[in-house]
Amino acid sequence: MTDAGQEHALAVDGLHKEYPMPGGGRLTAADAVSFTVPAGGSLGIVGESGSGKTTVARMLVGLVRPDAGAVRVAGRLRETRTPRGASARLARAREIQMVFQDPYVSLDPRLTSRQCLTTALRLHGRDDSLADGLLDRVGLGARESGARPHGMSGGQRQRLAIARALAVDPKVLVLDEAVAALDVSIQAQILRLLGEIRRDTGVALVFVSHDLAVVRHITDEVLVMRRGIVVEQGPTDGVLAAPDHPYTRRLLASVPRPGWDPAAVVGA
Amino acid sequence: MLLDIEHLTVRLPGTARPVLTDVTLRVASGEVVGLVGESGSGKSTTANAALRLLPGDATATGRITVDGTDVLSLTGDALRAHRSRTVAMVHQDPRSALNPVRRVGDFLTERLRGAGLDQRAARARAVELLAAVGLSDPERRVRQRPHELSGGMLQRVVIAGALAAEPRLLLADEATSALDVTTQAEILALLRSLRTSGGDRTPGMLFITHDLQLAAAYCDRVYVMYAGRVVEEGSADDLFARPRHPYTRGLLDCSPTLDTETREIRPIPGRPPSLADAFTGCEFAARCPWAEAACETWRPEPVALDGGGTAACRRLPVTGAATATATDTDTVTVTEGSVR
Ligand SMILES: Nc1ncnc2c1ncn2[C@@H]1O[C@H](COP(=O)(O)OP(=O)(O)OP(=O)(O)O)[C@@H](O)[C@H]1O
Ligand SMILES: Nc1ncnc2c1ncn2[C@@H]1O[C@H](COP(=O)(O)OP(=O)(O)OP(=O)(O)O)[C@@H](O)[C@H]1O
Ligand code: SF4
Ligand SMILES: [Mg+2]
Ligand SMILES: [Mg+2]
Repeated sequence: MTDAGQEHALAVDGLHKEYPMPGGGRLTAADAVSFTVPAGGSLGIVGESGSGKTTVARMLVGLVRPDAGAVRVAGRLRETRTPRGASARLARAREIQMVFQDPYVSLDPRLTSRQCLTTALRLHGRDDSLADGLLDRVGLGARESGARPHGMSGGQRQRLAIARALAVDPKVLVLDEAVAALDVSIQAQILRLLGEIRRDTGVALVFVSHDLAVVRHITDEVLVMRRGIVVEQGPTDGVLAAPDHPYTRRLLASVPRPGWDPAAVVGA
Repeated sequence: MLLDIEHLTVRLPGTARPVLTDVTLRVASGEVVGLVGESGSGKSTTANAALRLLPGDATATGRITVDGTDVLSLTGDALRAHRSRTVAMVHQDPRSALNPVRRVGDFLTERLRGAGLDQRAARARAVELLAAVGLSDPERRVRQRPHELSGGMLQRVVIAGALAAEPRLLLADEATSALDVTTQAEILALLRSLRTSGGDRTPGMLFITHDLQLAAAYCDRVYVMYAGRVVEEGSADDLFARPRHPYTRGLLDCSPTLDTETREIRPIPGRPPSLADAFTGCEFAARCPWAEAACETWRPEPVALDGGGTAACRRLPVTGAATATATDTDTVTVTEGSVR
């Protein structure tokens, strides 16, 4: 799947995670997940609710500790434990940043947009003055730059969350259902923004979504998960145009389109 | 006409514009009618109005009838019967409709008793209803509590509850939005099967969604709302193939699809207005690629389209022609810059 010798922005090998189940036994939330993303590349993770998408995303960032497997960023192995010491932790944060579905919970309600960015920049020893360029980059204007999270729309908060992630200048940006809660007109603006950012900065995107049409538009490669297992992976165009696995076919058949009959999906 | 909303305008105190402006909308028996629009456009308010569930301080003008009954003047027992028997509502989150500590069966038997059945008959009917909405092992389900069921299963329970009173009109407000696409397809197939069920008492459905692709694929007719106003109405096929109002076109142009050729996504600039935004003319003018100065003072009204349907735009001959040149400079290909 990958060119020999090429260094990937992100290389994931054999990630595995189990959880104990309430009634005893163990649930495999993710099994043998492996993929690579080149700099400026974009990989989608799709699947139904509970298929393990978020578990994989959180293992990449280090919010969930894998039972097995390795994550490498630009060739460097990420420790499964959060390192001690501030500078090691910051260096780790510069490798992978994450944007969640609801930015509200991850933004400090006391800080204005600009303060939010300058705080992140300062923490990583970068110049405060970069904040204005970042705000501009994600399309936040003068009013929003002085506004706090509660004074902004969902789309504006999501732009700010993306700007804050970019403030760190990460190699990899992981987005978990980051456009799912947005109106379509705003979702389209954010998708365009992500396309530009990846072209201009070379950041690699991991895009977790249950929306196949969105994934079709924003990713080069896709991974289809079902009950913790990767049932199919490959170039997005190929997988979505000619799926191999019956589960992928069923997912695709379920997407509404002209002439679509939901009863036919049920019968399938 | 089963549901007939005419020139409904709803105002709330302390807001710069009405929540709903001059909304006219109809649902016939056996019809599935879509109501589409972005957040805050007034979809839920429209559906709630059919139940006379408007905020206490709201003022409404216009007329709503369901099966000939004037809804806005209903009170007391007649209003209760309207809400519990004539019309049924299914919301997005089934957990909000179900008491978490009570059994799923109690939710149904309560409604059935309200519809006049005795306890024994209600219990038997509850099991039948759960089977009818496609839940396996219905005898066991009636004894389960909400936390033991998945979201899709719970939504089936809520739909079973909605059907319990054999309503004339079903209001589905984002009823499948929280579900997986596969589960959504199952629930939609189920909902559609209802309309073939019962002679001249065949129910009609108002299907609310923010997903235009879904509305186009699923409904017979579709209304598109923007800032509290119906901006376009037409058969689902027409609306999808030949959108006429600039907002409808904008919605279609910015929705990603599974099309095999890479279609560009053209975002609509700006964002949907809030109730604090007042307008002197067309509500869409600030975001519209065809807007002219005169649009800012034009009071929108539905214009009949040849081939059926209406659109509230003063530049329809222009917007009907080919594609928008005004947006070409804004065109982007989200998937460009592929590095494979
Ligand atoms: N902390 C946890 N403890 C126990 N089980 C968990 C935990 N986190 C996730 N799981 C389980 O792991 C499985 C995968 O969950 P995950 O959140 O990764 O799915 P997902 O694909 O992101 O779903 P969704 O689309 O609903 O967000 C699910 O069965 C879930 O219940
Ligand atoms: N009880 C209320 N008091 C004040 N404002 C309200 C009330 N209910 C709704 N609104 C406002 O009325 C407008 C229309 O709301 P409505 O819920 O009908 O929109 P919607 O199209 O259903 O949106 P969504 O897709 O987010 O559900 C919004 O601006 C909303 O904030
Ligand atoms: S009336 Fe004018 S501003 Fe409104 S939709 Fe039509 S062209 Fe656009
Ligand atoms: Mg998830
Ligand atoms: Mg609503």
